[in-house]
Amino acid sequence: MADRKFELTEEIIQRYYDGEVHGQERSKIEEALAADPASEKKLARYGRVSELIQLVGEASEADEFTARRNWEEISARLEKKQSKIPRRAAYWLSLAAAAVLLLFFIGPFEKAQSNELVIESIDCTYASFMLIQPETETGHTIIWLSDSDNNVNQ
Amino acid sequence: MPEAKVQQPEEDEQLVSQALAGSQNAFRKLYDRYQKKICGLVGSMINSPEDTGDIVQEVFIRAFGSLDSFKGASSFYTWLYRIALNATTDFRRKQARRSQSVPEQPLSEIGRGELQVAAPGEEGPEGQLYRKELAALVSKALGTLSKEHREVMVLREINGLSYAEIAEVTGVTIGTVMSRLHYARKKVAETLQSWKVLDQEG
Repeated sequence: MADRKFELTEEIIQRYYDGEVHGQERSKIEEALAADPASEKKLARYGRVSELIQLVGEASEADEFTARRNWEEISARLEKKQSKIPRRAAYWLSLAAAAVLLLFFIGPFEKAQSNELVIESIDCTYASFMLIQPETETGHTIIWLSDSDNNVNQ
Repeated sequence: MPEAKVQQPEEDEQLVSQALAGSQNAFRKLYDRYQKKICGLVGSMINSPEDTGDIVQEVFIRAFGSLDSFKGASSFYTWLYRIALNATTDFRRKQARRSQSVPEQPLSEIGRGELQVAAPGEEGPEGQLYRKELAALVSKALGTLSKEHREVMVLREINGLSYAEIAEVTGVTIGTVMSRLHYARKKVAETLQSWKVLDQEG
């Protein structure tokens, strides 16, 4: 019994062009293409369209200078991003430290109106907090804060 | 005679692990390996050369920020291409909002001659200019495609991905990739033909 004629559909030509056929199917297609000039023309057209599209890709590629400049930008932005978190913690810690110092120095000149101090928030990852109340005449309290994530003590 | 030791380039996965451990040098190697492909992809998707560099930077920043979500189930570059496509989508969305009042040049004007290009010799400044103008025209033709059709076209023709890889990056089936690709090629060819960039014979 004779083989049924192998039909070169658009789908098959496209798969062949894109290298998505293998083995026996590939040989069959090549055979059929050799016997069918119209399909060969279609195949050549795929090639021409590809060439044109690839021009767009080439035109978009960065030259060496631009590629290096892009990397420098990326690198700077990454470093900035990585240093942002400790800097924020340091900012809040320094604010807290300033508040403690203020209490320590101004305290002796003013009579305390209240024994209460409310710390609303401490913005760091692993903070330790301690109250130290030495037995002095003034009865001041030392607030000890430690940000173990950044090795900062205040 | 002792065998010459050839140093094999590190695998992407190795570089990813090193970058995750804090090595910016490893991430730089990944950048060097893929920046050209990402430029090609981004530039072909957005049709705005002046913004390509910013988006490429954004792609690598996003990639670095989410390296820990890369599980190695797919290849690194398909993962990176997905990030790049998302970044171009975000850009196009913003651009669409910004340029609502700035109409683009109507396509009907293109065929009237001002963008027609003659074909000089391949080399030299004239040849470069020719290729550049031709690239601008083809880019406009790509711009006539929907985002979905353009994506598969660019991933195949510029990034050289297989159907299976394109399916992975775009999240559709291989059958859909094939039909989108077929439609996209046909449409671009017709458009370029109508602009006399591609002749009837192909």
